[in-house]
Amino acid sequence: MTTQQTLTRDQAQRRADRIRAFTEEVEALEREGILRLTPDQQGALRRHHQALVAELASHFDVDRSDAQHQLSLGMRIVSLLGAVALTAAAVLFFLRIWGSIPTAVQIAIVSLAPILLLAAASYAARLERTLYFTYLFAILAFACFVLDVSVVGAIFNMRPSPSPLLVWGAFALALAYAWDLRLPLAIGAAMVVAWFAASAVTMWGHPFDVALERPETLFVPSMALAWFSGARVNARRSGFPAALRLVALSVLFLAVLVLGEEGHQSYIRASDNVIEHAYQAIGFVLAALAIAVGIRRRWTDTMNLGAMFFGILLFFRYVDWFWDWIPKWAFFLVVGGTAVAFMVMLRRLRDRSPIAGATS
Amino acid sequence: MKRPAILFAIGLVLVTNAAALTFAAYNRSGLDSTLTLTDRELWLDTWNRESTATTVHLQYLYPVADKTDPWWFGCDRLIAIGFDCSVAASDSRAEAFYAHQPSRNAFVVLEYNGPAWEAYEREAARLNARQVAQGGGLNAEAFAREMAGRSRLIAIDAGPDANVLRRAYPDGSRDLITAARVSITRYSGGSDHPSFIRGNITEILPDTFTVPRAFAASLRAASESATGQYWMAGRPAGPRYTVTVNYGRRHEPWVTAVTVTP
Repeated sequence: MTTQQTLTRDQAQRRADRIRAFTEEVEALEREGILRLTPDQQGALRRHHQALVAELASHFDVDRSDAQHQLSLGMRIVSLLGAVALTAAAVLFFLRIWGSIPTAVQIAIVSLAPILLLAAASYAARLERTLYFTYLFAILAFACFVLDVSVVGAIFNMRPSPSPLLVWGAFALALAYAWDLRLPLAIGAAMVVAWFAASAVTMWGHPFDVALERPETLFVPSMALAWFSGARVNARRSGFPAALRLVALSVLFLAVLVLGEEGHQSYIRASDNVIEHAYQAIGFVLAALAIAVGIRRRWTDTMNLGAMFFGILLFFRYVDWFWDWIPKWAFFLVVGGTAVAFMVMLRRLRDRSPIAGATS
Repeated sequence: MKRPAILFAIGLVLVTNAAALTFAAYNRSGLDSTLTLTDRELWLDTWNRESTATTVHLQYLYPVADKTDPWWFGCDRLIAIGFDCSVAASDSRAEAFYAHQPSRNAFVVLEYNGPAWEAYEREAARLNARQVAQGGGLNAEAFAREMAGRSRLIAIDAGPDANVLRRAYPDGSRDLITAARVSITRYSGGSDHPSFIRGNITEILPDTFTVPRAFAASLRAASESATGQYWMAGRPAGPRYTVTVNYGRRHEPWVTAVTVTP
């Protein structure tokens, strides 16, 4: 059973789910008279699966029934809401008290808070395998670190700088890789991408928020992040490659979308019309590429994001081409008809995709 | 991966705070300018019920609304800051060319209660007198009250290098040098003047200062007690409070004294 040590929790859960589905299917086949297992075979199978599930539950605290699965999903949602609420409480409480405490105490509180919460997250991780409380403390630690840097900057009236984006991003990534947490991973990755773009414009003599007016500064860091999503350090963490790809592609698609509508925000010195049309074409190509790569590599996240981006681009084009020229009912008829055409096309793709285990 | 990542995160918190404190100490290790400003130049920010922090907002004047020329902020200074002025203001491409350029970082010189303010007062009086002659404008009392509420910090220069500006304006008790965000704009000509290019000061960085706890309560009390008087009887003759502000090596400010007028 030492192979369990190389599994991630998601892989262990999928194994447990497969065992449950297999057991139900064997029972159905026996009832239908298709399959007959001898008592010895039934016993051996049952003992093997019971031991396996017990070991998976012991190591990974996997859900062993639909009811447990639903409760786990509920716990994930509640832990996120709890983290958000506690973050708001911590920030608002500090804002309420900081005017009545000395500067040294203010700095001590905001700098110690993330460290103490990190310690709490570490302790929680030792006690629970599902990491719900670890996740909550980790999010709170990140929020307190953001507050820390913001407060110290405000106390000393410091000029705005893009550097906080890098330290916040690095902190979030550290939490993500410590405990395999996907939300801090996405936040950290997005912040590092933003820092890269902001630093580039700062180096060229502009205020760092000019990066928002020049979406092309996001191209290089988002593509670098997409490449990094395939690194080995992420491959062995469940959900990490998909999360990083989603952040990278979302940033890239958003940048291309904005440039397709607001050509004056490009660094390229050409007419706004030319720039917008060029980026619209690039957008459609990127979306199609994302769908194709997603299907080929079985990256559902990439395929869905590409399809959504394609849909948004097409909708914007329809508004440009038809909104002022045809009645509104006809406009939405065209949009609906396009959606139906996509459904038919995707269904044909689905019917043609190979079935696992099927013979020719 | 767990332990190194956690240790890295803890180290990051400690290093970040240490770096911030080091930068603050460096800023305060040298004095670039010291000014005692009044409630005309530093407005108390509205007291947020959720926050007990006390902050003041720097008010300054860049009186170009009625000017039909670049004043002091023309292409010579804009080019030094890094803008591109290669297209003539009268060119048909000028509007789009200059609108395309994003804002840039620079340093600006704000002169306090000096010749620039006197010139501004004279010009304002002249304009008001002209409006009065045309049947509008403010009477003497209203005009005096209006001017008594204006900030006496006037922007008089800008450039990419604070040290160069300080050498040109060595009086740190009157000329404040601060970081700013500046932009470039092309203005269309009229019947009496040609098109021209002028820089604009978009934002002073920072323009909001945190007031230390030691001075916060008295500042808030002074601001709140005077508010009712102002709206009932007009602006008081003198300032409600004065705030002494130092600017350090990094051109970042800190408040060192607050005096409340009884």
